[in-house]
Amino acid sequence: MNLLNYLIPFVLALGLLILVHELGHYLVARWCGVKVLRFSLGFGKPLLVRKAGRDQTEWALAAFPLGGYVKMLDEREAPVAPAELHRAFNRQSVYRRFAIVAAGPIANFLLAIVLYWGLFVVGSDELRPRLALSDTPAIAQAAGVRDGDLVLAVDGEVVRSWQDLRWVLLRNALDEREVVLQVRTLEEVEAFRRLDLAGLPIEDASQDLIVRIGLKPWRPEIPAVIGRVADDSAAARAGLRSGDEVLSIEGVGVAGWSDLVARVRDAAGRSLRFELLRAGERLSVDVTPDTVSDQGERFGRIGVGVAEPVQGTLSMFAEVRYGVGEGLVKAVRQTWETSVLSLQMIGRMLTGEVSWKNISGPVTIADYAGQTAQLGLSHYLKFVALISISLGVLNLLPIPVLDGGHLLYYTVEIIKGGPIPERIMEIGQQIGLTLLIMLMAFAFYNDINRLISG
Amino acid sequence: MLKARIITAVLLLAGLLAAVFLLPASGWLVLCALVCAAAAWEWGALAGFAQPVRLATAVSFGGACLVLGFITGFAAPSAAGGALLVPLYILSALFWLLVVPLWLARKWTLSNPMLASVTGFVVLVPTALALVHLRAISPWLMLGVMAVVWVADIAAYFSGRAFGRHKLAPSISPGKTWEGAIGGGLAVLIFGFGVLTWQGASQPGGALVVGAVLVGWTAISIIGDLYESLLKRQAGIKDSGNILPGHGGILDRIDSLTSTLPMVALGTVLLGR
Repeated sequence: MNLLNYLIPFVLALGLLILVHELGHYLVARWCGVKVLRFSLGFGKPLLVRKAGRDQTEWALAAFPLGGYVKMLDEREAPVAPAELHRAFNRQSVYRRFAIVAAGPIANFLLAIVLYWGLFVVGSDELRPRLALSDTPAIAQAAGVRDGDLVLAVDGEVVRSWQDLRWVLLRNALDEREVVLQVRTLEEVEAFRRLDLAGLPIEDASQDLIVRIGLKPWRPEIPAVIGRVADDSAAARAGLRSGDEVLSIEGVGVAGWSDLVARVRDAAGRSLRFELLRAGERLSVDVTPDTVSDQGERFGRIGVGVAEPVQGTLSMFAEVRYGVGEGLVKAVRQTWETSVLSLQMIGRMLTGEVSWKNISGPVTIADYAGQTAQLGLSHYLKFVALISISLGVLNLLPIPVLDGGHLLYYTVEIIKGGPIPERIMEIGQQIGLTLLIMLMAFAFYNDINRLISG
Repeated sequence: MLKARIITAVLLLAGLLAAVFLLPASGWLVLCALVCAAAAWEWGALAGFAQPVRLATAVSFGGACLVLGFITGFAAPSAAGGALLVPLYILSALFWLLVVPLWLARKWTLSNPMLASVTGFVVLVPTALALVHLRAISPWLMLGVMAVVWVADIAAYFSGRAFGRHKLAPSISPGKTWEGAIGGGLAVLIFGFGVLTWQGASQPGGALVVGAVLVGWTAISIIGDLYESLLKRQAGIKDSGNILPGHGGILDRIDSLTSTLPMVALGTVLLGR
């Protein structure tokens, strides 16, 4: 496992998110006529500084990378020349200050919308929402779900991919209610399945919600026909060829590809008698699977791949693509819903309904960044959008020190008709800072735990 | 002065022993949170905070101790978890091992209020929680750990007075000498090996490793002491407070604990106690 594979996607994502956030502050400050002294990526000592623009703003790259800031002209920080007083942040009307502070989180939401929009319009291969019962299918079975049901809609909301399905179900599980799946069965009959999500524990984050409902993606049964034979593999040595259909192993019939794989896995180093059908003729071959060990587990492998994947209506994947307008609407909705869901999760953590083990810190984020980057650009960009939304939501929380804390002060100022005393702000900052440090301690604790338990 | 100091020390020790052995787990947690709050109040003075802000600092740090202590399960009698506190201990260890030596060398100040708050949290909250944590494992372990720091302190004081010639850090704490530090280290070595032998405990990693740990321990406790001295000097305050006759404030009393306790607690978690 290469550390750089995680570090580079993480740093890129983080850099982009901070840049966009601070650009939001910067641009609105400029529009309001406020003079910006420094735009910094990272905290602490500036490593690289370049002055540019009419105001000779310093564009800086600083040492401590987990954040950034925009430093504006402000009488509370340093004396301001009388000629420039109207350009000082603290002299702006409360509405303008509100706009400047709110612009950071808003920029993060806008970035997410743009990313989602692009992904929706370009389109991607998505796993289709075709259901199969898992090993513990209680809820799904009670609803009458049958293997191969293709979900068309959930409570009238059209569902086009497995991702969509999972999303809508998660949202409804939070509301603890019954949902109606509109499905098309394998026999091409449309039907309704009533899933009772009440009483489903959402506390347990270790397992995917869909798994707990008792569902998994349906896989078409692939016939045990050999497609590719790897060079110098056990299969090649035994003389297996592309196009051979495996009828039985050791006299027991083979049901399909997954059955074939399972039986070979269990027989590391043990000779197996394969009954084959080759060009209409039956023949027997002895194959001894190679022993492979992975993470302390030993299993057998013969080195063959499947023939052509199933195409057409029974394919597991389908390309999902949206029009420009439709994509934008969906992108906005996705961003909104993700934000609301994050807020609900935070609320439920405060009331104890959801475990605080769900808080992730930078290590988990870096891990996901690396994983998604390896899955491909679209996965990575989706992840960046998600983190951008989280950052926006987090920053809007009414905790002093964060943007949301300032917005809270400004809101009180608007209602009260006068600024909040400096003293009260300082007190709030003290409490906010303590809260944030504790939050970070939790996040790191969870990160370390996940890292250790894998 | 020395008399008041000794009387206070004896009273404090008696109070501490009574609290350690008589209080229920939750009571001990509350006491540690209160000590943390009082220390935070004094820290606010070092940082130059105004009274209301000092109060906010005290309340939020004390509150943080309570919340973290309860979540970790230290309010219950038989808890010995504490893994949740590992990030805080690591933060504290990094601070004392990497940041403070630089801080002392460059004579940084607490002038930035944000930095002063974060630093105060890192200094005080892990220490209070380590006290709760170590007592949950065993009151004797906790007292033993504290005793090491006291032995270092007392031995340094007397050997410094007897042999002190070369100043350790004249610009920070003119009373401290290298002779005192060495005397402290030697006393800790004698004390540490004495206790281990008396207890018949194994010496993990051999005598050399144990000796190195004890000397390092003394050094870190001196760093904690020096660090608080520097902050007091910068703030123009002699004692951090005056609730303890002859000893100044709470912060003066716990300065060498702030640097050592979290690291020892971290050690117990890592060694799987």
